[in-house]
Amino acid sequence: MNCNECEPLISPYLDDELDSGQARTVSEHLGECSACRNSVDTMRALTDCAEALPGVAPSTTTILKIGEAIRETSPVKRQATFGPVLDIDELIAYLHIDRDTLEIYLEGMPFFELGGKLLFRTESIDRWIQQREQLAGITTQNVSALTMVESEDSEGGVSWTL
Amino acid sequence: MRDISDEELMTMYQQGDAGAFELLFERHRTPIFGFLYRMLNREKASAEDLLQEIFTKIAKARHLYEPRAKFSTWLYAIARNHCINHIKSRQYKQSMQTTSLDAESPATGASMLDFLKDERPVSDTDLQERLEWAVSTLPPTYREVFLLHAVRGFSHAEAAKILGMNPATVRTHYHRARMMLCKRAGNLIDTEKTKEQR
Repeated sequence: MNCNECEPLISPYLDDELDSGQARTVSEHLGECSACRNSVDTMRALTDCAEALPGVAPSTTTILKIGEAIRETSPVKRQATFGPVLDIDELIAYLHIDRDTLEIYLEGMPFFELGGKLLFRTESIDRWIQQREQLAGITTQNVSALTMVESEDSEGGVSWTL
Repeated sequence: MRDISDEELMTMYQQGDAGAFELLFERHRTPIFGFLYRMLNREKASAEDLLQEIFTKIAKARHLYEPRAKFSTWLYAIARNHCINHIKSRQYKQSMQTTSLDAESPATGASMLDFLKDERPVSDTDLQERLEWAVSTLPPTYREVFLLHAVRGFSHAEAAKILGMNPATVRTHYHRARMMLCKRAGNLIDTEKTKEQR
């Protein structure tokens, strides 16, 4: 075997893809030829380097854009039924709002804490909604003709009575 | 969620769980971006545009994914086809940087000629940069095989599925790519140093 015959076989030789006869012939040639031996070492080094090439990350802007596009192309998942107690994610779904909006109103909402988790009784939330409905109804009338009294209800929440 | 397979996440996404697809994007965005980046001669802006188009395309075509297929193979097949179409486009050909010896690397600002004239010992970072340059000179058919197998780690059989080729053809292209890389960058490698490191 000469070097021209050996050269195209070096890569499959490195990957053990030659049949035993070809592999033996290449091995014998490598034993006698330092130039081809050097080619084997070079190819092995290049392959190792290729495996270690660093990852290339897209920019943060692109990551955020794609995240937004994913959310826009996905159907909104609405929970069909709710139990007597809601966690924060369920409350968000129950009220059809987002987390930022919930944070605005959270302070005034009835809740209880269990195991470090904020939980909400569905019945209390319904009552809270009712109070907001009443408040919305009152503000459409002539407020100066009315007096509203703030009081604390049995669950520690705030309610208004005329 | 983090221990769930790609295939299960994709099924969840098909059922409406956008968070599952966001996790898939998080898992795959860096390696697939690396593939696009190196296929497009390290033009970051083009690679980012393509990445966005690819994931938007997948989001819209999610109903076409069949869970028995490996997700990564499906993802890379879509990405590769999109990339090749872009490379073939007139717009890309007009904007493509040359990869001649005196072209400046987008990563370092230096040209390959600068490296070749530099007589200092080759550092690992230099070697990586030289390999990156050599890969960018490969024809796209050899480059994609090399990137998928040697860089990304797909087997020849998996690369064949991604590329729509016969596995034997993939092997041939891979071996030719390695030979070309050796001719273009091999003289820059200190084989004694790499033997010591092994």
